[in-house]
Amino acid sequence: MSWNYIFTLFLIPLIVFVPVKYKCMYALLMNIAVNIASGIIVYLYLTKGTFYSYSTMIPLIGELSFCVDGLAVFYIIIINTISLFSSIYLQGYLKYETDPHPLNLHLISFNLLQIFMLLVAMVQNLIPFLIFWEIMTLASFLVMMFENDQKDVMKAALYYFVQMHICIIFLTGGTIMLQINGYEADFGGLAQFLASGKDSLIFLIFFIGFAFKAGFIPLHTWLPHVYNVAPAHASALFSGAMSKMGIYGIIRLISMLQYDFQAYGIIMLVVGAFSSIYGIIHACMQNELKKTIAYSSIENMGIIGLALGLGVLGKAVNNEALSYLGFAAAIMHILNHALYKPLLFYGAGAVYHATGTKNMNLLGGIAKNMPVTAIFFLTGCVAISGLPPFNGFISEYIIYDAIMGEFKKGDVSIDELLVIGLVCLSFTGGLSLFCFSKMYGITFLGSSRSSEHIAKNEADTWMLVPQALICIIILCISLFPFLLINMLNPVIMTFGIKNIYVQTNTISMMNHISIVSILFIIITIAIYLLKTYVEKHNTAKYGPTWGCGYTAPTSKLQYTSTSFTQNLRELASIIIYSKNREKQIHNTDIYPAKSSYVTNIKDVLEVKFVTMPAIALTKFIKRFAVFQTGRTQTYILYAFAFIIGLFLITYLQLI
Amino acid sequence: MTNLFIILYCMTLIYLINAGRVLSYIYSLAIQGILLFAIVLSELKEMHLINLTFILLETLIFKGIIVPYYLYYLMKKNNIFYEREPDQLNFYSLFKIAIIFIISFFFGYELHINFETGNAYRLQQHTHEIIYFTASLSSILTGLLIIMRRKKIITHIVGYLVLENGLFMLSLAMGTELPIIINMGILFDILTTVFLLGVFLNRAKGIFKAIEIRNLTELKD
Amino acid sequence: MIGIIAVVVASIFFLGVVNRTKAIASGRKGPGLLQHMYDIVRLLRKQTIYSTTTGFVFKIAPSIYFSSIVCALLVLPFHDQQAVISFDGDFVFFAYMLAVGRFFMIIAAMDTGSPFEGMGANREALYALLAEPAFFLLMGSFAMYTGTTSFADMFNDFINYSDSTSIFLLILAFFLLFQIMMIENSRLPLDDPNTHLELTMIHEVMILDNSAFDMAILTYSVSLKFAMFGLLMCNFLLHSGMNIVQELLLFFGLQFALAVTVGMAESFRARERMKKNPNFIFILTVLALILFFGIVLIMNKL
Repeated sequence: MSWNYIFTLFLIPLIVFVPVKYKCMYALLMNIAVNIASGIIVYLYLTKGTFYSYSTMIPLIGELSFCVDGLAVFYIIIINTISLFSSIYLQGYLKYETDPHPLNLHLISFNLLQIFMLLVAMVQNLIPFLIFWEIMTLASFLVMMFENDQKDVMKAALYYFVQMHICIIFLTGGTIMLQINGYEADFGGLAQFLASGKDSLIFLIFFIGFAFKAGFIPLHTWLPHVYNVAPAHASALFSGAMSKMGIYGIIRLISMLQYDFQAYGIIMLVVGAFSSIYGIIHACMQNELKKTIAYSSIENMGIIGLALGLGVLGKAVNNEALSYLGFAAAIMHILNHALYKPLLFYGAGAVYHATGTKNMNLLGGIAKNMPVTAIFFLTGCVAISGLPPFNGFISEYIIYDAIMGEFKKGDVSIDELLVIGLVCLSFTGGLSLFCFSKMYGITFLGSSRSSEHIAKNEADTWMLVPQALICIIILCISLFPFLLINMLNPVIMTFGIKNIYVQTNTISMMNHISIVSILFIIITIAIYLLKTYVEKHNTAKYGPTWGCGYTAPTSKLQYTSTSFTQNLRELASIIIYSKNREKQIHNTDIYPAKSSYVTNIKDVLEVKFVTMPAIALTKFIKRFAVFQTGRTQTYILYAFAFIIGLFLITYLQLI
Repeated sequence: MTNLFIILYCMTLIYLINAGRVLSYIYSLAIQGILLFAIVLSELKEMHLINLTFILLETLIFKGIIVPYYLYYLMKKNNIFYEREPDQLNFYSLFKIAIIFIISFFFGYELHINFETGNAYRLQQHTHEIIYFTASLSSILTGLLIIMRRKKIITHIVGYLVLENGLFMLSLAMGTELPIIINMGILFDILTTVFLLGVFLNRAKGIFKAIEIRNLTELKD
Repeated sequence: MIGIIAVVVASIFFLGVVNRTKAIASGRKGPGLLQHMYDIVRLLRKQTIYSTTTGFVFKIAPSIYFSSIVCALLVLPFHDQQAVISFDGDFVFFAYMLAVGRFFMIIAAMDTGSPFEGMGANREALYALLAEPAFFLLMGSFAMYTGTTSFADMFNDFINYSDSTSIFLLILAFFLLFQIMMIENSRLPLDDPNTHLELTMIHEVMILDNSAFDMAILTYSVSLKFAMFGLLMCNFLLHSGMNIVQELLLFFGLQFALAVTVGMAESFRARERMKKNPNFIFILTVLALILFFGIVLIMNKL
């Protein structure tokens, strides 16, 4: 089946010969080709169930075999959907690009990224897995540095490149460890190794490697930079699908796990809970639209981690209900996040396209000129805040239900963990409401804060279509979640849960949620109709906003993103480095100079784990700079000395 | 009943950690003394006259009345009414106390698992021990937190006293009969602390303008 | 269904009783008990004025706010009288439904472009997020005690009158719910509805630009929310020995007591400084933690 992909692999580079105007269209075409190819795989799965491809020997790489089970198909569908939407979106986003070279590179790597993500989701052997993983990383690296003439893009790209290779070091280390212990380097061998219960360190090594990609704290530092500078369609694909590959790896690991459920459950739960809180607090603090969304990605990954942790804990205490609900919530949340996060990125990209800035403090009142984007973005905001009647609520709700259901049965130490999870989750819910109401309110509502950055007209139709499609899917999931959970059952079965009672119970719960959600919409519409009926008799009047007695308000007086977060910033000062530079007007100044207020916010973990070690390392390495004289003669002398030294060492039999 | 008093005791800890006025510290210390008295009284299986007198003396009279009154006197005399931390948010103290509760409950429970011997009667005994252990551990940690976080000498005394109350509870957890010796030791220890610091406070007023720990650092060579 | 009718009836009088209490406490005679409803009816006849800055969000937000409260009301039972819809974990739905209303009120306030309304929106969002864990911990504790996650069974005969700890925990739960109610309704000690300075307002400043129908439903929703939390608290007290008349009497008695308490609290208490509010709200979470451990104790789980 991989032949389909290989065929397209040869077609993709032909984009070089396509005229600039049609390059994007060609990329879309390629994308559709890949989609059809993987559509065949999904069709085969649906008719035959889980199936394996014949393993083939490939020189240098070794054995290569694929397996398509529920989880793989789930990922295939997510990857394909998001990349299809992204390729539609980029028709509008890259419409005015005239330079063919960056476009070629960008689009080729965009298509490659999709293909290699699909391969990662299906491959069974670890060495090809690592190779595909690496190509996926490289492709995403090339995709993100589309605007490579900007300095911060290059900086973020380098950041990403280095960190992703640390991730690969961990994965490779795990593979080597597996082979040293005499097991096959594939998932079957890994499963045997974990089942033997000899050394559980390997789980942690792989877990850390995958956690890099998923963006759990404190390994998340690459994520906000990358999502911020990448083009919107790329950020959407990264957050919607690529960083989920880390979660994919973790899920594969969990399904192989046989021992030590409790320890790993606790690790995942705690890491997930803290990631979610940390991510969302930083999301609140950001002034840049895409950075906010990026940090909220960390939050969502944290929620997925928390749900997975609950599932593993459920296995530890032999509670199938907890397991089922935890894993179901994780899978649901992966899907939900893969929907609303791209939606938000598309909206943010449209805003960036229209106004030329990502800084919320300069935006405002966009809803008037871009009403359609505003409505889609609002849907995304409500959904990501986990509010009913949208889909984000459903997965969070399942997590709550899992926690509450376990309370009575669990012993006290489990209960305490669950309480931590509960408090973190409810905090996260409130904080995401804070974050996204701020983001939407500042960006789309009110009036414009600066005269240069005004959206003139609605976004391109190409850009609106994927948003509309995602909104429709979100609505379907929100109103009929019971259908979804039926469809996801084979995926949840990957974790080896057999209890049917829990499933029927969950489905009846979903039924009720769907009923109340529909009721909510009906009641809202009824009240709104009542309002229009009451207002029919007296036509509405329009006037300026009540300025509370101040007669000369300007749009600059509005609350900005910085001022909105001021009180939260004070409360959360423990995990935020915020530096204010202030130049106030004094009473004594007769002709006051221009005053200013600058807030600079830094990620504590980034400073502690990346910046400071990097500075220390640079300091250390700079000591060797004396050897870099710049003269060729000296360098030849070094080579000479090296050869002599080598010769001496061998001669004296030191090695 | 004991459970109720211990829950109330834990609530006084929350009040203490969040208080800013010295008077609130003194009130909550007095309440803690009375609560300790109630706890011991409700736990007491048999009434000896000596036992009762000692309990009354130590908890109700000493902890509940004399020490708070003395602190009140010191407060009036030195004109220290507020313990403010302008830069430090009390918000984090609340976080810390929440974490303290969770940690001490966890430890108390783990202790129980280690001791478990199966017998139902023993289990009942252990339940009480866990509760005492939890309350005392959180009290000790809270006392340490107060000492670490506050700046004035008088609040440091309060911190020591809360710590001592925690130790008292710990001694209750150790056995049903009152370990008089331990208590006496702690009692005298704290007595000297309070009075020494009191004397110090009385004297220090003349030398330093404000009664703050910060000034003591200037005393070093 | 009977619960909803009772809540609606109680909501008609609730703010009237509060205002009358405040009037009597300050030595005035005070308006009639129904004055509040007359105001609402009068608002319905007024002409709507929109700000030119606002858009569609501002127009739909009050309707969504009101319907979110109605939906939250749907999942509340009246002791053994089933709620309209009842399912596992419906209290999560209850809390999140209130959050939906809040979300839309916040963005509606931002929509006016007024700095004061932005300030109010910010405070509302912050205080609500700090209060959220307290509610979930409270409900989680009861879920743990009863082993169910639905409102319908959660309150079933929680109170054990012979055990002093359980009575105390009930009082603590009442206190927490009362404070959460005050926060949800933006009342003292967080916010003073009678304040006349926009800088110190929270809820009132968010609805400065609403008028006519929108204003009417926003005003009414305050009473509705009060009565709704009253029903929530009442469910703790109702137990199986009562018949429906006694239950209703208890319900209205409790609502009256609550209204008087709110009135008294507002007459004799000053608003906290804004800086202290987060502290105050977070104390509720810590107390809820204590409640949780207390319930672990009375369940003999150790």
